[in-house]
Amino acid sequence: MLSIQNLHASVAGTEILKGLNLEVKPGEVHAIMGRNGSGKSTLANVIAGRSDYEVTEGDIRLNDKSLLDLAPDARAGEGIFLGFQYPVEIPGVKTSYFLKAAVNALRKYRGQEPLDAFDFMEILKEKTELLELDESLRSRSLNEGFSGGEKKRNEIFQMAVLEPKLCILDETDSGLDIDALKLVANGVNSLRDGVRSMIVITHYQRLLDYIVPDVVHVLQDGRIVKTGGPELALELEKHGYDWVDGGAA
Amino acid sequence: MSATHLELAVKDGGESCKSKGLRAGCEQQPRPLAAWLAVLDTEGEPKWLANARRNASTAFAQVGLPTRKNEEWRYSEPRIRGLESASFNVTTTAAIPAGINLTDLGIPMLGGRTMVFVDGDFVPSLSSPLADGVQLLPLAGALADDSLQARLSLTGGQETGFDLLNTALFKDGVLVDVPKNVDVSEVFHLIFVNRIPGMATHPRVLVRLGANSRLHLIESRVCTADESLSNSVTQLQVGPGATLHHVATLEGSAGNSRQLEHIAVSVAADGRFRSNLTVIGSSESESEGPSALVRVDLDVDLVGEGAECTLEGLYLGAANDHIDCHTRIDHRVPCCTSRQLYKGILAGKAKAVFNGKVLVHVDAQHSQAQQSNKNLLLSEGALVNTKPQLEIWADDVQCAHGATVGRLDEDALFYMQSRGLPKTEARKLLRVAFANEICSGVRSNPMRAHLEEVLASWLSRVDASLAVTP
Repeated sequence: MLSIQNLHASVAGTEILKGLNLEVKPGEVHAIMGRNGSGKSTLANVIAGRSDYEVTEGDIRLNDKSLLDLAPDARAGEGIFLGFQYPVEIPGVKTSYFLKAAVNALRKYRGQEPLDAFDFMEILKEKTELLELDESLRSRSLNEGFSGGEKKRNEIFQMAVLEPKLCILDETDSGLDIDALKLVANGVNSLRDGVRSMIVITHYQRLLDYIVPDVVHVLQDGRIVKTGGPELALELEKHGYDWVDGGAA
Repeated sequence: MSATHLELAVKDGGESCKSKGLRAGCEQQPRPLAAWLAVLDTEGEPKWLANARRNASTAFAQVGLPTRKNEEWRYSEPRIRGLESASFNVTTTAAIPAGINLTDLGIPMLGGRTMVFVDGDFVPSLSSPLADGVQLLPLAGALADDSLQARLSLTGGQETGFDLLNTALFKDGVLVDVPKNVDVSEVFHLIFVNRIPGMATHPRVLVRLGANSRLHLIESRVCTADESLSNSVTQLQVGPGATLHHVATLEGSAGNSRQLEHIAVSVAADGRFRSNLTVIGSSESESEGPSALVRVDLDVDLVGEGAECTLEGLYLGAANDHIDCHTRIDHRVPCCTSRQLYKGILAGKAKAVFNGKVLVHVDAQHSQAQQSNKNLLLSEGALVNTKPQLEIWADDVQCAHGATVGRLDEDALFYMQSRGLPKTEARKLLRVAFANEICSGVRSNPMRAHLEEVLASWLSRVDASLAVTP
């Protein structure tokens, strides 16, 4: 599904990713853990195509197609979805209107006919029920005045509607209390279907109690320095990131 | 868009000569405005009106048109420079061609009561006046009433040369009287179209709402006439406990035209005034030559305790447009509230001014005043001068103001792109959302739909012109 080779990326002239390699197979959930400043969010943004980040070396391939020359919307068209750490508030744009525009833009990219209003509403309804969301959410302006928990749930809702091939969740757990965290995790789990791949980026092990990963990576100074199963997250929780420093030395 | 096609009636060519005030215009040649004052013919008009016109004319000779020295007119001045010596016609004998219709001019059909003026002349065949109880009448026919004398004077004594010209030269306009305790269910729609190049019109609108009454008044002003001047004065009196919702759109799509409107409002105790203004320049014209000036001066006097006003405005400028939006709110007595939100989108080499003055007078304790002005610049050459002015003489008040000038939020663009929207579409959506905050305040559904459509089409024209320029 996703193959990242020797990725080097910098922002404003400072190199953040320094030769990162990652292989994610269909249906797998990978967790990427690391300290603040290790390059986790940079990785997420670089995969999604944010223009402030410059890829200086290496490649990112989705189903064997390089993403590097594609704009963020084309990457979305190829099946990438980034759930933001800080979802942006967009006053005046209703969530449902925005999603319809997004769904039809993706369909256009893929050479499909646009959905009509009726079919689209059916999908919205279905996903609202799947995620046990409040119906009022979609008629509100996108993220405007939403609580932290509502914003993150709205990200998962959008993910459910857009049906990406690869979801990247950037610190989805930050700022959530335990109840909100469970709701978000349940939403994510309901979208695991054995085909869709996910990269879950987090600082804490806590989220991984609820979204159980297949593979855990530790990111340090722009490289993956350790890879293991779910037990690696528990080890990290127990010993802290210094433990990795010791192990790597 | 409404499918209604209302054809303007072919007018009797000589009719406008019969109108009062400017009989001299029958054999007219274009003349400078001051020369029109010199031939002012008030024969047949009531004495008070003749006096008012002569006084205004005398005062104009002293004051003249605003100059650069007048701070409030500093930015407009280049577009009105030389206007005093420019020649205009002030009445027309031209028949209105049968082929034109209001819908083609982009004027929405809203139902309710309509009053239509074309090049300053009342068009009865398209209008639906009211004379029983609630009054909605052409002003010219009502001038015999002496009581109008008091209503004609602009309070505050800050009449500009344009106000004086209007008083001296107004030919017609609208008189609205809503008696106390009447809730007018129909929307009143006033339509002013200027089509003939080189014309100067000075429409006057007098509106009075009695105590505890309610009215929804919509004005559409469209100018397609090159080298023309539309100089209107609109006076709105909101009685105690009354509510006036005033929606006005001004569109200038002609080269070198000047469209000025002075709206003077007074709000009595516990009265409510809600204004929603849309000003659109001439994004059609890509020429380097002078294009439209559109200027609105909205003055609100809060004269009774508990009076409230909410002013929302949207200005859209492209090409070489110049748009001036001035507001002045006087909190004269305690416990009044004012809110203002003005937003602008500017492209090309358009210039806009937002000048928002709030005066809290010394006795006006417990005043609440909020003002916000937000601008979106779509091109390097666009310019906005935003000038919030708060003058507070009372000590127990809550006042806040803020102004922003910026470009679209890159974070928002990336967010939307990451969900699959191409950047051009994301931009479009963000611009529409920015402006829709103002349109959404319009309560008449057909008018709101019309404004949303106007906005969308303006934005797509601007988008197209942005795509051409690198």
